[in-house]
Amino acid sequence: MHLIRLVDVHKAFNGLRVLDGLNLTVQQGEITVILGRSGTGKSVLLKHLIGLIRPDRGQVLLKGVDLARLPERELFSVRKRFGYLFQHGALLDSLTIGQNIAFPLQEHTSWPRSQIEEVVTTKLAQVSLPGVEHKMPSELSGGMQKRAALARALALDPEIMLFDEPTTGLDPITTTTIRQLIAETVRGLKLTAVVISHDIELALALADVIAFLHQGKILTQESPVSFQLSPLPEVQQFLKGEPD
Amino acid sequence: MMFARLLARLGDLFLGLLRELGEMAMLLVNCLLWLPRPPYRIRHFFGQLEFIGVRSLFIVALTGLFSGMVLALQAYYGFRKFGGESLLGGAVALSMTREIGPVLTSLMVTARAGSAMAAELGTMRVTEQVDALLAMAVHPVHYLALPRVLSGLIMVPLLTVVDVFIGILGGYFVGVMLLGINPGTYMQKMVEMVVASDLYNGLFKSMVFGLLLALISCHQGLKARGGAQGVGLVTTRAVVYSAVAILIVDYMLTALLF
Amino acid sequence: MKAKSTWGPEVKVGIFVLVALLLLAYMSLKVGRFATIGWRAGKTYYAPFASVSGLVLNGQVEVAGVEVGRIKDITLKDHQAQVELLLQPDLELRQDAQATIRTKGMLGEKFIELHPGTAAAAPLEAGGTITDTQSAVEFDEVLRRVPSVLKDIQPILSDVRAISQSLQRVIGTAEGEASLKEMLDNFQAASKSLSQIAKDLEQGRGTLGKLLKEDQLYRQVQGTMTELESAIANLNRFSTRLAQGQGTLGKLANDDRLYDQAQQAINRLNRVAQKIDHGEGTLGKLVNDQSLYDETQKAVKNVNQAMEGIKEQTPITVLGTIGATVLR
Repeated sequence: MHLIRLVDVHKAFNGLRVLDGLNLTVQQGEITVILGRSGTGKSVLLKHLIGLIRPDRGQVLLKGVDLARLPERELFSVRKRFGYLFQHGALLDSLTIGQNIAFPLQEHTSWPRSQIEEVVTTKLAQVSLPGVEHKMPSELSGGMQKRAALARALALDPEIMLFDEPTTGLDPITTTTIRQLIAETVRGLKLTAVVISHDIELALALADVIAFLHQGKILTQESPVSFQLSPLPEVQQFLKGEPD
Repeated sequence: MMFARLLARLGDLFLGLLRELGEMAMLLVNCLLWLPRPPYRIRHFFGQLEFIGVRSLFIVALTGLFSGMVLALQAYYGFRKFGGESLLGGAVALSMTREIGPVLTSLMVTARAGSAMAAELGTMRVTEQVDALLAMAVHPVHYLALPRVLSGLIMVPLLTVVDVFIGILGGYFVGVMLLGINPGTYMQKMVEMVVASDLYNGLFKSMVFGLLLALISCHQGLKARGGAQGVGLVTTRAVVYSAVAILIVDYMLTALLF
Repeated sequence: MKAKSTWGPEVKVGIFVLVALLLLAYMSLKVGRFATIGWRAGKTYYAPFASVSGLVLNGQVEVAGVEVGRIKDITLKDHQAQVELLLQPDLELRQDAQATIRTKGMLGEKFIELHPGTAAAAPLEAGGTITDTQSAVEFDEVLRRVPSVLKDIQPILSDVRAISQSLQRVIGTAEGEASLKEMLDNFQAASKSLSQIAKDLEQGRGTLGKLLKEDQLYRQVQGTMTELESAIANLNRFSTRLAQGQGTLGKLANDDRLYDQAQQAINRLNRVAQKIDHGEGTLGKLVNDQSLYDETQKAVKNVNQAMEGIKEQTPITVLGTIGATVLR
């Protein structure tokens, strides 16, 4: 059963068409990796999924509800079901790591402080970052920031996780750690995940389904094995890394 | 052709201005709509009050002191021409309460806190922290703009009180200690010439200015695009727009109030 | 969440807000004249005025320069301005209380000055009306009245000018000098005739009573005679000494003509002295010019009346008048 469906989504910025009649289906409990070259609008696509960006045309259906037409207030309650890991973590830099992870809990629960602190400790342990509660984000390395951000994204126990370029800008070892971490958490918690990346290795290792984004459209959406064998020249060019 | 292009340019400018005003009005309306909704984030709000109010105290006191002193000096020069030196206290106090206090305080807060607000929100915008807030189902207007706008509204008048008081002290120092005006006359004329409404109208003005500068700075910050350059651009705009808006609104309010 | 330092933002903000509000309260009290708060429950009085131009709500009410209340309301009643005064409860007014609208300084704010009245009069209950009121004299009103005042003053000024001209004629001009000379000539003539009488008297005292019927004149002459006698005695002694000492001078002394002249001069002096002794008043009377005397008297009376009239105006009127006169 499909959890998310995008139907004929169009989006343009200042006359530049970014999404141009895009269709995509995300099945419940699967990890869908959207591959595509830089600047093809992968982040824009991801932001459509939680209504951060509304399409000019088309539908963004979450269990049959069109987020594109949803009033903002209802959109807010929908967003609580999502966890979003931003490319650079996007931790609030005026708060400590602990405060960052506690933030969604304070905003959306009425839990006592002790319970929130407990969850913060658990989530940090989950991402293998124990004991950094009182550090500021700027005191952490990029990889650690990303892990802390993952802990924050998981704080409200979301159904759907969205990952924006989770391994971009990280060294190979950290990349592997993060990849394993994503696989563990998503599989372990039986979440649905949408990952956007240009990291082919990550896609092949992690994905149940790979969707290929090219010129504002999803060209193909298939399993990693068949994706590698795709006859589409754009996919083959991308896989081999050939210049234009 | 040239002329038509010029007209088009002018129209664009005007439309841009209207759009800005409309966006700011929307931001204000959004702030008001979010104001009664929980959570109230008291601690976070106090952080903003401290940032805008307490940390601007020193610079505001300093400018207040010197503006009062220079006012006394300048007014003395004018009054001496017709032997009205005794009016100095009243002149300094009137200028401070009605004009210099509110305007200078607002401009200093704009320079110190408004720019910081725009830069901070701008940075949050370009590093996706604003999107992160939205993704966590927290509205940036509720979490970022509202406490700042409210703090501006509350703290700028209070800072103005300090500014006016210290300015009057500075004027007293120059008038009585340096220029040798009789202290009794100085105080008497001051109390005689200044009425409570001078003070309160001045504070009302500074409330409006505080609201304006916080609103403009937040609006500009949240509009930032691109990277460091985008942040720099909106910071500059925030300061320039706030200062211009303060002076224009100052004239309109003065014309209306006094 | 934990505070970053022991002095959290709450404490700092709290202290700052407190200090700022205290400063605000202090300044408000300084400029706000909040001293009136205590009189909210004060006594109300009414005072009708012909004009309250320039008077404002919440304006001051003073007794002897001390603020005792506020102007609570100004309404129009029977074409008069009805002013409602809110006064300190411990202030006691009498039936003959007076209310005057006055101005602080020449162009300052208007306020009401109260005279609570005399102890002899019955007390004026709260809510009563102060009947004895006087509106302020407006500066422009004063200026408006200047022309009519000038018209009043015109005749006075011409009277004064007439007087001074007459006096000038008497004393200053050639004509005046001539009349003075004439006057002195008269004196001389009078004294000449007197000296004639004196000569006669010297020859025989007995016949004097018959010759002069008037007692007064007789007494005068008698007084003169006593003095003359001593003077003559002195002269006699002197001439005797001269006659004994030096022949030619003795001869001269015995010369009748010289003797006559001396006598004449002495008489003349005597006469003037007598006149002054009797003190026959003004210069007008001395020159026997009754009309000039009357005119002067009338003019002085006019000036007095005018002064009385001016006194009723405020000093500002006089100021205005003088100003206008000077400018004319």
